[in-house]
Amino acid sequence: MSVSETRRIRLPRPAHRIPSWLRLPLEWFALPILIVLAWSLISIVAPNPRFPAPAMIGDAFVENWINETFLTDVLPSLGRLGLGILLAIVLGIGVGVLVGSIKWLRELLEPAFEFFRAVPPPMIVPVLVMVLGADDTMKVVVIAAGAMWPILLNTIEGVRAVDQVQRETARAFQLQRWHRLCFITLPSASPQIMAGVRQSLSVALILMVISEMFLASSGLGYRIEVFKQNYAYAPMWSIILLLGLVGVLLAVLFQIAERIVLTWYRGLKEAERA
Amino acid sequence: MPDETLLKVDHLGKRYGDFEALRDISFTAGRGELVCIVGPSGCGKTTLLKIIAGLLAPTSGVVELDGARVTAPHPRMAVVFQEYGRSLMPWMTVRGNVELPLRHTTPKAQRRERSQAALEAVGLGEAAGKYPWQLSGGMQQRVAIARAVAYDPEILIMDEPFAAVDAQTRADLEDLVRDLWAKLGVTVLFVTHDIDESVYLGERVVVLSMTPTVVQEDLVVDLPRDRDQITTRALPRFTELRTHVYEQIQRAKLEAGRAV
Amino acid sequence: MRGTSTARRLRPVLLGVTGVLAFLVIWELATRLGWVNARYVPPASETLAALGAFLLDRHFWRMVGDTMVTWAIGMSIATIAGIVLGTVIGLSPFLRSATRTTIEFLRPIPSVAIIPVAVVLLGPDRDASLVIVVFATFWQVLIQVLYGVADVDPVARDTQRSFGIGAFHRFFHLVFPTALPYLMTGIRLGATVAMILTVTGELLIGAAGIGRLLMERSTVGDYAGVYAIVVTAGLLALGINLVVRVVERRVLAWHQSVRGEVLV
Repeated sequence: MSVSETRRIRLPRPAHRIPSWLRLPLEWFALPILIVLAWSLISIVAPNPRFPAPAMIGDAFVENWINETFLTDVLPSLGRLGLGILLAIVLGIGVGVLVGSIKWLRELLEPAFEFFRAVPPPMIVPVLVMVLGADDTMKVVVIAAGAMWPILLNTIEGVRAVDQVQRETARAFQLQRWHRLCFITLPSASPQIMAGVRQSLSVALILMVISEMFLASSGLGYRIEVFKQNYAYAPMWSIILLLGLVGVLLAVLFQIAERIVLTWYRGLKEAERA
Repeated sequence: MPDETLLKVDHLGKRYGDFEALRDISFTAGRGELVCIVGPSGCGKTTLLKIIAGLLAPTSGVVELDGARVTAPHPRMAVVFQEYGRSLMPWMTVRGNVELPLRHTTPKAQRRERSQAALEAVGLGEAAGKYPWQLSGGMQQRVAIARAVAYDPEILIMDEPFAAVDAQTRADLEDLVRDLWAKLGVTVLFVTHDIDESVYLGERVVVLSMTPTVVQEDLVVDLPRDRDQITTRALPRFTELRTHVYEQIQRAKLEAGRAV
Repeated sequence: MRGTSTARRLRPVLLGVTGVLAFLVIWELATRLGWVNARYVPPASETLAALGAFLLDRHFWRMVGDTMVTWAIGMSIATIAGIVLGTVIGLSPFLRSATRTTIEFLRPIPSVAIIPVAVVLLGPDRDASLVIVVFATFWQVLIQVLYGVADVDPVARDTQRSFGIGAFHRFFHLVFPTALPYLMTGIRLGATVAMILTVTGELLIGAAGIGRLLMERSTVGDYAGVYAIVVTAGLLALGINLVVRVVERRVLAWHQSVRGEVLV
């Protein structure tokens, strides 16, 4: 190819003239702000009671949640959610480590477990309501019963897949059983386990809402029902906002936990990639 | 004179169903000796080592350490595996890794001392707070060696520890092994496929045959005690010995071809 | 070596089946011996009988069909939307950055929160159900496609550009093969989520399907029927998961053989 035929390459455009410290926050918040503004505009120009203006949703949010309902409804709901998740983690990891370590036990139970996991969690709500009645225990049990499967099955897989050489090292140095569990098995399985915990969080949230929608006299789910039956539009949207915030909160908490537990894993993966 | 034999391997055999991996292995290692085991690829060196370390059970024969039979991993034995990357725990620091086996042997106060001393002995005194994956391959293997040394064993068992390391690093690590051996007075059983390495390191070289494996030859290496990479390897005696070992291994391969 | 190799391969299968059977036996005993209140937990045998009866019931199959149709429609809409938006956003660093907060806020919203709004807008049937199915499933596909598009090897991309390969061809020969495994993961995750939300919609909104059937049976006090439907749902979900995995393996096997076409 002669020199005159070489293709001209376009250099990348120079950086925007917006100062760098402003760019990132701008990019992050521009779209949400735009959406809220557009929505507000449309609700002025073409109002629809079913799509209240963001301002009205904001009002409904404050009115409904930033008062004593916070203590009587939101906090208890979140408390049950937290308890359910905790229970799911303890059961999931506890049983998972046991089953994952014993080969015949794993082969015996894994198919049955996979079936239990496949059952759509919301379906067990009416069942458990029948069996346990509609009280707080039931709600926590529902959350734990549904959320524990991803953790359980992931733990089994993680424990099963502990590196052979690491296992041999443990044997060669005569590590005690407890040390083996704490310093080899669990850390080795932790990436898998954390992945399971992440999946279980969304299940837990759905179950919290549904279990309260079914038969409750308080809690977020109950409130959703009340609003629905009263055709209270702005409050209905405020629920979405509230649950969105709860979801984000859970996601952030999880990321913090993951950062702590899996620092080594990230470092390892980066080193491998290099 | 007290009994000089520390390790006794007596007519060791290992079968897997119809397949006879090891037929009849017998040799001894004296207290404070550095014995190298070398053999052609696939002759079951690692299997033999695992049986000696108590990780695998033989189908016939005995392994004795200090007169007592070895049927399981022994507190006076420490192992250095070939795959250092998978033998060190990536979620623990270097110090954590070195101290892990000490958790059930040593009270907390002394653990730090022991691990630090071991790390310094391998030249990694500064790296205690790092993670294994932050270190190079050679350094990771040093950590594994430090871990074994900190365990304060009577016999150090090393399974082709430098096979996965580049040549320059390997030379440094070989010298490190001889240094540690001289300093600590520990018995070393060193398995390798590298003939030159076996002659350079060992006081004795046990040459294995092909499967079904027997001891082809038990050779004394009469090189001076003080060795270094340049002069020792240039010695005529070195060349004689390595050629001899090489010929033995070639013979082993040929005989395997002829045998049923 | 103990046992032939066939026996050894069969062992996990046998043990697994034994496990399931053991569970059924324990279930039966628990109810018959009164460990569990038999009024609310019918014995396994009754549940299986109810299941058998369902299999002969046209109404049951119609409900199963409704569930599957809702699932299929929801999956399709969510997958297409996920692919389109995921590709468009993923290929533009600006869009990726601009939409990040919006996505990270909308994504964790549990679909169930949208139920009241959906019902009020669209009435208590399939359409409202589809809204929550699509909403939840869409994110699964979108996130995976975003990962996939972001995973394009910049060296390969720059090489192709410097050879004058246009954007259109680059898409097919570079972006698509790279993102395909991620897309399959997204579809697999989305399939499960879609099933869960389909059933949820039937339970809570009353859309036609096995969820509604469950509520019907529950109101009538047919507990064996309720449990039979739960078992059905589990089997359906397992079946879907199996099919998706097989498809995923097939598609990726082809992908592997074609992978060499990603020019570097």
